[in-house]
Amino acid sequence: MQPLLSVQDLSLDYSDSSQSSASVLKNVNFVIQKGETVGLLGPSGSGKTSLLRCILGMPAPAARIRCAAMRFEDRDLLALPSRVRRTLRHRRMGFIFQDPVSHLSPYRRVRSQLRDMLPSAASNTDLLDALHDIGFDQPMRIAAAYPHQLSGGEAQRVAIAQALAALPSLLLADEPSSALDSVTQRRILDLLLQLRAEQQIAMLIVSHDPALLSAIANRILVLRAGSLVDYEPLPQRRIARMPAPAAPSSPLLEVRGLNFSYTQHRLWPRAPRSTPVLKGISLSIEPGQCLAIIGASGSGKSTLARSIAGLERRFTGDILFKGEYLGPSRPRAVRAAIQLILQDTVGALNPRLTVADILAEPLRIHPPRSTSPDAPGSIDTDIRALLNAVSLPSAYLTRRPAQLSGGERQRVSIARALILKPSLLLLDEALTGLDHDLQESILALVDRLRQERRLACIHFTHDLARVLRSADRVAVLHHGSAVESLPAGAFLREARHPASLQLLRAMLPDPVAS
Amino acid sequence: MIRSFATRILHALITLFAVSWLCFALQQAAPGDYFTTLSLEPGLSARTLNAIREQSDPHASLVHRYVAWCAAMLHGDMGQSLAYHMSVYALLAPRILNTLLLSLAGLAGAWLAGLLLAAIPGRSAAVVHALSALLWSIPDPVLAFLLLLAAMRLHAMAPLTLDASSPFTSFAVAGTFTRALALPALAMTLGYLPLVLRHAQSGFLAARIAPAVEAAEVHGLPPHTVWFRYIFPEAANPLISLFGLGLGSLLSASLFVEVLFGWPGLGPLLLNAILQRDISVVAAGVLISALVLISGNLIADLLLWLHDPRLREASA
Repeated sequence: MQPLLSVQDLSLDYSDSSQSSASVLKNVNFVIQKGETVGLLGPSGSGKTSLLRCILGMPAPAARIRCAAMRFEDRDLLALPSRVRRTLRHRRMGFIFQDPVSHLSPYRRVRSQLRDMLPSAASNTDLLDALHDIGFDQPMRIAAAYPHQLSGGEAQRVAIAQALAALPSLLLADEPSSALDSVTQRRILDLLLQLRAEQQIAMLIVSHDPALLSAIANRILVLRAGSLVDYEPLPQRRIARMPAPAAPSSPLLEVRGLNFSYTQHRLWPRAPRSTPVLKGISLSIEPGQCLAIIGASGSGKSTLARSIAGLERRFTGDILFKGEYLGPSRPRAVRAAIQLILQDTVGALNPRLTVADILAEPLRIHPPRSTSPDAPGSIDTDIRALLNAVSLPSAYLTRRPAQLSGGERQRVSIARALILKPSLLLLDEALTGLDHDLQESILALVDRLRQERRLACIHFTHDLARVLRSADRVAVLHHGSAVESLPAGAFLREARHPASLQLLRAMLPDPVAS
Repeated sequence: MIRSFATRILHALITLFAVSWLCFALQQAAPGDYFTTLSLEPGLSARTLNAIREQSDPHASLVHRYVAWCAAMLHGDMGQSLAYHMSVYALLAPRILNTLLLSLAGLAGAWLAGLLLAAIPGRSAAVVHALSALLWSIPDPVLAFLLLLAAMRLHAMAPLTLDASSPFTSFAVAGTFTRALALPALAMTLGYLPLVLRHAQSGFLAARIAPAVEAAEVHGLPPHTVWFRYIFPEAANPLISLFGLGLGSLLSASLFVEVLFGWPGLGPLLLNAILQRDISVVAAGVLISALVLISGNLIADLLLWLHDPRLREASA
């Protein structure tokens, strides 16, 4: 049988005017059969995204491609005019992006953006069905929403619905579920499996998560430094659990009765529609502690993180930092002491600055009261040390965000948050885009800072497996309420609330623990 | 939202009062008045002049006259023109219509051509860029003169002069009217085009690499869908602000074109009124111009608010 997609001797390099040509892919060969699911595993920066773009026929402008043959549905892709390749993308291939929120247009409702992808004969019911199939209980609400009103997980599900809308024969997915909570992740995986069975959709799924790929893929390809290598399961490794911090001191941060709701205003005076997002959240954290706030997508995690960071001011309730009430405008020292790392890596970094400028910017905004004043060298040393700590070579200092992969961008934003030596670090799904080894090394870095500098941190995440090992306490957020809060060690045994149990049940087998 | 617009309208009213007062005060501060200019007329005796002067109540104070003018204005009476011996409203109404027609035609032309030219991709974009730079570097009056010369040379579009009292009233005069409109409207279009073009070009350039547009292309949407549903909305915000500014400065932009082409709009009338110290005409003209400016900004704000759902939430 003729394979659905076959790629022979694909090589790709970027010829940049400033740098010498960098080779991204070297003689890549693979085939995908009809209805087959292939996983593509690789560390960040290994060329996974570039490979997908070659198959789509949309390589980056500076890329040079050499390829012996590339066939899809018995057609020679290399010989097709761009108009035909566009139609193929529209009707025969689906694509799912890693970063869902910024890949939806902020100006149009979900309804009309999804309709663009559906066949023109599709009815309104078809549209709502497409949303329901992807796991939305209230498709009407989602259809009428604008992308900024969705949570990261909801936006990703909309993006998946878009990719599946035209019933493609090949689905390409770039880290499709890294932004989803484990419950939704399971549902999406089940849906993908069902589609594979019913409609013979073949899939090429890119991920850094071997557990996810082995759960869904028929076989796994591994991309390492641009070449395909054999897949072998990860070696067993385990990080020693942090000793609990010494006798509790006064809390670093206290949140008391935080409420938040979105209000949609209309042109004509109708009663504004109010949607509660957070309901009476209270929490406290001491220096050196690590708290994990877990919850399904749309449970209010990001809003809580933004409120604590001071980005969101429309809440009611009190936030105290080192015993001081924080008003709407915060002292500079407090702003420097609370640092937030976001999930969206494209939006978090200024595309016009180099990595060096990005890392130096916080120091310019909050000049350090250093012991050695006017030492320009020390800033540079700090930056290089931090870059090294997040495993990026110092050659990256002159690059701009567009020249980095998703995982590399996230490491830069982690370094940027740490450069001010904050006392509280908020990680809003900050580790989800990173591959396994990097997650471990960044958690180790945070653990070291917790010991050395009594850094406190709060993880806002859906990744129960990861945080259970590094957090002291776990709180479960469900529809905007904190429904359960337990010591991390006792969580597995004592969690009672249905939402917590659901998160536990849906937890993928951890590749390290198992 | 309603409240913020109400605040804006209140601000607009305050601005209008300030503008009208400023206009009154400045007229008074300059030496001489309408009658000083009139006394230079050789056929007029001093006695006749005095009689005319007495008619217009010269002893009232500035504040007094201003208050009276405001009160009349609130009743819809814009006063009497001293030079034309007719009500300011009757004098201005047809001319406002003419001016609005001319400047809207010019603005529409500039926006249409600007958006179309800005959408040209690739190497041709550089040519468009260079031409717009050339156009931008020629001062507007020179551009209008060149246009006038070219038209006369070709005899094809010899400029027509219209009677001020016959605005666009019936379809019988529509043909003449359109022919007369073409040349000044073209002059306005060419003057404004480079500004639109530059902003639209850079806006589209940035929008084309936006992630949402990239996603639309990855999904293989047809080019027109990508343009109208993804690139335009992405680039629209700064263009809407520019459009509002353009609407606001309609009157000042058309002023010299009207004078040059003999278009019976507000421009020549206001110029004469200033020279002749015809105070109520000047005040009404300035007030109208301020009104247009404020409505331009309001319209832009409203369009922005309608276009960007995030602004609707932020304006809480």
